[in-house]
Amino acid sequence: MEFEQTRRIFEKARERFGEDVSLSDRPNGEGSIVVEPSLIRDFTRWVRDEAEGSFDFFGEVCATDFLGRSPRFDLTYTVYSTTANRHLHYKTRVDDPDPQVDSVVDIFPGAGWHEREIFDMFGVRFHGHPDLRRILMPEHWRGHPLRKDYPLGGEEVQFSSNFADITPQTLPPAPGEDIFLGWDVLETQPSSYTQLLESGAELEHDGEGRMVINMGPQHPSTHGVLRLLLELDGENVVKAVPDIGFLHTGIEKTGESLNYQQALTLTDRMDYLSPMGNNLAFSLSVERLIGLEPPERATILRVIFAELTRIQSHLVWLGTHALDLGAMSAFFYCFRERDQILDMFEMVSGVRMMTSYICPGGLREDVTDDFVPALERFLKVFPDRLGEYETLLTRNPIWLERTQGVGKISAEDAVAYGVSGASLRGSGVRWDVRKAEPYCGYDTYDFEVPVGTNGDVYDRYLCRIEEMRQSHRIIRQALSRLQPGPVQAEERKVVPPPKSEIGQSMESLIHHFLITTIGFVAPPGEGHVPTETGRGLLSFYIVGDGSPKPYRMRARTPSFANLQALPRMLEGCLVADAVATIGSIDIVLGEIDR
Amino acid sequence: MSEELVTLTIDGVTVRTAPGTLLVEAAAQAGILIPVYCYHPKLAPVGACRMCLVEVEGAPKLIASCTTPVREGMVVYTDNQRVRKAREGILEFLLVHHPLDCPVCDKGGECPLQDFTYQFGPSRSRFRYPKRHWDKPLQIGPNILLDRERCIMCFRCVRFCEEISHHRQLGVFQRGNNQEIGTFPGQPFDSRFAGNTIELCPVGALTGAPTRFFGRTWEIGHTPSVCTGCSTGCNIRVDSRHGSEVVRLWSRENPATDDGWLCDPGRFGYGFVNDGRLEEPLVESDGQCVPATWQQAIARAGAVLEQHAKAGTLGILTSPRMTSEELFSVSKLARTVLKVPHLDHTARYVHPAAVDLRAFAASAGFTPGTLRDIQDARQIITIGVDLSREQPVTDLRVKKAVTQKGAELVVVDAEELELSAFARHTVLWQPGDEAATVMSLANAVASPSEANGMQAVGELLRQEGPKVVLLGWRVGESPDAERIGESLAALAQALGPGTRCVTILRHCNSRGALDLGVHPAEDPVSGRGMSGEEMLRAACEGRIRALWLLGEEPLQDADPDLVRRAMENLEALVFQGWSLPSWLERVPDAALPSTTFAEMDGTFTNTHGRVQRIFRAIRPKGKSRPGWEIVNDLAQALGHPFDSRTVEAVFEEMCAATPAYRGLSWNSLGVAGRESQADSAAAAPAAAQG
Amino acid sequence: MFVEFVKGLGITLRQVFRKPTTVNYPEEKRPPSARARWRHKLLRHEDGLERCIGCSLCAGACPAHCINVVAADNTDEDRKSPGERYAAVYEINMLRCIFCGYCEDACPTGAIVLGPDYELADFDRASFIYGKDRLLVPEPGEVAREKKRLVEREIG
Repeated sequence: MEFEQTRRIFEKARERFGEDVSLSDRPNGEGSIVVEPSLIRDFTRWVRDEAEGSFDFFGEVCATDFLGRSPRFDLTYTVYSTTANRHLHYKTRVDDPDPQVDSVVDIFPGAGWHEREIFDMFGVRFHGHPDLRRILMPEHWRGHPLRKDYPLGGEEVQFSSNFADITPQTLPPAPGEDIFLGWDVLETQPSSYTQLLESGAELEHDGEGRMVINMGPQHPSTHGVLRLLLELDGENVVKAVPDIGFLHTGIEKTGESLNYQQALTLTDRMDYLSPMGNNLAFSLSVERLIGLEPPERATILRVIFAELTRIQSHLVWLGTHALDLGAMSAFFYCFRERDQILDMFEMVSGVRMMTSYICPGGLREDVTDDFVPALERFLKVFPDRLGEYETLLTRNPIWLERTQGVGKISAEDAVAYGVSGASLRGSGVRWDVRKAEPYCGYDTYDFEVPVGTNGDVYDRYLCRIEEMRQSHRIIRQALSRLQPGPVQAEERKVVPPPKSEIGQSMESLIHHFLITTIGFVAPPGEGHVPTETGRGLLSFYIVGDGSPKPYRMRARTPSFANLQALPRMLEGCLVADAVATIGSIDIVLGEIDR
Repeated sequence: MSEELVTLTIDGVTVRTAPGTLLVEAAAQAGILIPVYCYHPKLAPVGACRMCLVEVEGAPKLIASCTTPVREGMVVYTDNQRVRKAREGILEFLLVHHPLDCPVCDKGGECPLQDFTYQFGPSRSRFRYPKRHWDKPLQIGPNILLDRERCIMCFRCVRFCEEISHHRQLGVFQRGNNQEIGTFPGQPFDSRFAGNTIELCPVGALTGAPTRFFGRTWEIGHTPSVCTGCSTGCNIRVDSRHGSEVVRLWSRENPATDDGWLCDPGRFGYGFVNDGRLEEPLVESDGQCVPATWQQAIARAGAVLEQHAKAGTLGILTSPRMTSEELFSVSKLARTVLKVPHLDHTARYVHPAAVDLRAFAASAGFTPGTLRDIQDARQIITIGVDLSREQPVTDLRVKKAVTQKGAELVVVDAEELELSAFARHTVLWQPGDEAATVMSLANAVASPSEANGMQAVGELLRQEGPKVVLLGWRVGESPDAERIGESLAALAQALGPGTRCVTILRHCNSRGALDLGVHPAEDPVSGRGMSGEEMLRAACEGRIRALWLLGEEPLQDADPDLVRRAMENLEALVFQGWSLPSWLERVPDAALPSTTFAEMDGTFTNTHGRVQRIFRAIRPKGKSRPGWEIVNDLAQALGHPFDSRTVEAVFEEMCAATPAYRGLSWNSLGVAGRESQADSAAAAPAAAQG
Repeated sequence: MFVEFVKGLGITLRQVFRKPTTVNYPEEKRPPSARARWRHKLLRHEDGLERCIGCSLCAGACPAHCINVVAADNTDEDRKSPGERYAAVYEINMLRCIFCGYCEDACPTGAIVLGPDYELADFDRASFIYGKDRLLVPEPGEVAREKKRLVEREIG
């Protein structure tokens, strides 16, 4: 997304909104349109309906706390156009002591959970939001953790000298203690969802035969610590309310206290089934911020690893999804192939999962000699194996019975909710970031993007199977292009010098010392590059402030948005179908909760 | 200043500043950073390192901004291609001989050479030849290590010794590539201000010997605090590791107290925090000290205190190195619960009229002053105080006033002091003859004809200009203090109204102890309480049978023979403090471990009345607790629980009850403190605002 | 419909004739890769001196802040490492370590490396704080694997 494109849209916006919009042009940035808070709804509607490109897909809204500046909070909205293949950032600014703005949830349903998260983490209120309550933190939490004046906390690391001094942190306030809100609680109307949560067992004996049960947070089929409140009428799901936050570990806040390379290790652990995908998205955003291009070989290898990660992630999805629906053998076969991929990851980085291998500047190290032969072996075997999984499932009557017509979502709904990845494409919307807004040279590879028609579990399944095939195709092409060369950019102010130099060169030693410990410095600005992982649209929004640490490290994760649409998909289905549907949207709680 | 400001442009920004401002300072005012090594705001500029080169329109070559004053209409560029290239070149030169020491160098991670090389310097080396070598490190003084290979010849250390401390122990030797910093042959760098050169040195050439290998910046916690070495109240930064150990003290400039410097005894005197601590409560059992729970120790201590308070045989001696909150709590317990009038913070003899030295000086007619007044003075008189040893950082202030501002110094003491070298006159008195000498001085000032051999001094002190008298605590300890007071009154009269007096007290919170009434006071019921010295005498005679001793300072400075006899005679002793003194020759009935300044929040009041906050840097060692918390427990055990349960609450209560602290609030103290009311009637405007 | 089931069962049957990929741990163990990032080691030079010079760069690079280094002076009589400085205390809290390998990347002398030993289970929290006694290799000189690694990373 180039600055010029933003500028063009801004000129049009100026005609419509006059002085209430302005253009923000941070260096290296894509630019964003700054809107007066009172106009946010009108502007959002304009952007969706009238702006050039008609931005129909809600990416995210996120907040940044500029403590000490007035207005204090930046709210950055990112919307995408699935037809014009571009995206747009626009911002508004709100201030202490009582930051608030209108909600845009009725224009973009996908904004709902993002606004709740901002309320939770920053304390910004959204007028008109039907259910403004905390989403990640427990209900009765005090304070807003991502604010800059909220302490990071954490338990001190134990060594032998301070071992006895470290005791478990005090627990958060018990339920029943006053919720700290700072304003009139009655202003936020209790919603039907809140009533649902509150009601609990009350509905059990109300004569209508309705029951509210917990599915999760401990459940083999929720694919993580997800709590789903299901209001049941017999076996039918009347309403489903996801309750998330059980895996919240404060990744975004922790990222603000670490330098960029250290923050990279946090990204592995978000979507833990696609660690290199997260590494890649983060590295691209940081490289965008600092204006660095990795060398050719690194880019090609990144594509190879990104696609291997996609295949490996889909294999886990397939195995567990099939397992949930009773097809146990598929699980073993999928994991067998996945292991081959993890072995390759171990060859190049030393670990199977949390590799932190793709880093700002390129790759941490070049691949080993045994990598390419292993990759070739895998590529040879894989299409057959994929065929085997299909033989087991694709036309299997039980499978068809369990997955066809189940968990449907329409294309319009999916787009409006910000659902991405195969969960979106299953409904017929051919939108894949690799094609729409290519990165790492994806526009130079030949591959198809499969779409479904019905938007049910079966179509999503078909999409992912085909995606694995296409990934295989991409890897073959990438492998054929691989030439010897460096895998790290030659920028000594960002990438440490080779170790052989630091015994001879004073300058190299100094740079090595500072970059490996305090970290390289990123200029003030923003970095944002959208990518497509196995789950959908993943992007990091990094705000740099001229220091070695990210001022804001926001992760817009596909599972978070996809899960928002789950209640829609579950309307009217059976409990057993809920299992199938949850599996089909392929969520990973690590990236939902962060 | 009514002079017109100079207007110039730096990087397109219009800057207006006073004439004579150096370009590098003018840029800093505009928020533009120009890298420097040899330049330091407190040292005269030399233009040695060439890092600060900038381009000035109209000048053919780049010029050093640290030696160039601003000129009207100057157009300056600090960040164009030419300047960047110059900086890169200078750094390349500086790195030519620099040893590849970063991993083993203490400065790594907080090193301006590293930082500027990263920001402005080359990232690759072109130097392929052998570097020069020296034996290293060299211990050039008890506290300082010198590594000549790392030195970049900024000369800050030598200039500090010449211009600030005037302990000329460092010099530059040899020339060119062989140039090195060194001490004079056979002479150590043992100045008590040597440690400041560690902070000044922009590389790891001068490092601290006691703090060698203390850690790296990323492992260290930084906490603002106040030094407890003397009553200056130098602001410091406590550097700690693992939240449990103090590894270093660093300066934290406060123009009101320390003016940016520390002395070595203060800087390196934090060992008492980490080692030798009383870590758990003890009670006496069969003549031995045995560990006990807090409950047991409090119960035992409370019983002793209660019993002897009722019998009127209890004395209380608290340390003037405890925080004001601790002192206040003790005083409150003493006066309202125990009803004990015998409360003091020293066991040395102090003349009753001079218990509060500041009030003593005020009653002689002097206006209370602050340490900062010293540098604006035209004439400075020290009476009975050897600043160089007793309040070193103030000694630097006096030297600054004399050498940089043209002030004149008169030293009045029993012998020639180190500062005498800077004094226009030294007036000597014989022990016992202080009052007469001061009176003669007063007369010499008042009337030239009665000079009595002091004509020159008298004439000097008659001159116009602000005058500051520094009065030492030893004056108050003279049996003749009353007469000295009369002489001082005459002197104050002679010097004229508006002469400020700063009383130099002994310990970091002596002023706090005095403000809070921790000294023998007139009690309506029991009359005047005993002073610390009187308590020890009374103990020898059996009139005082129990002592509540907080800290070791009160007894440490007292007559050792008296102390020993008193200890032998006591029936009971309750000790509260951070370490059990080794010279205490009796087993206390209860020993209550309290926290040092590094482990709690609180306030100290410096010698002239500035209230400054300390912040908790490390966890309390072992089971130690803040003194005021211990007193709260004692109050509870004695059946009179106190309301204030946080240090903030104690502070608020203290301020409400103490005239000098009225108007202070916890949040307004910040990290630099605030001035208290020096005296409610005549608090000078400068003193009140802080 | 029946045909699909037969086809599926055929796939399952085919697996019987394939070599199982199961590794019967702990009797069989997969060989770790050459770059496997597990249990740390502090290496020595060929002459027996410790490579570690106590510089704490590893502690600075560590995202989990799990390395504790306390440096001390070498003397000629009691020399642990070449040069002025060595690590008197070197601890890694293995429960906090995320095995990212940044310490190895940061080390200027090739002292701290992550080795292939992943069998680290133990019984209590305190025993996971590895000190020099457990990290320092007892013999001077490295096994071939470490040596190859050092060469690969261009450290002398």
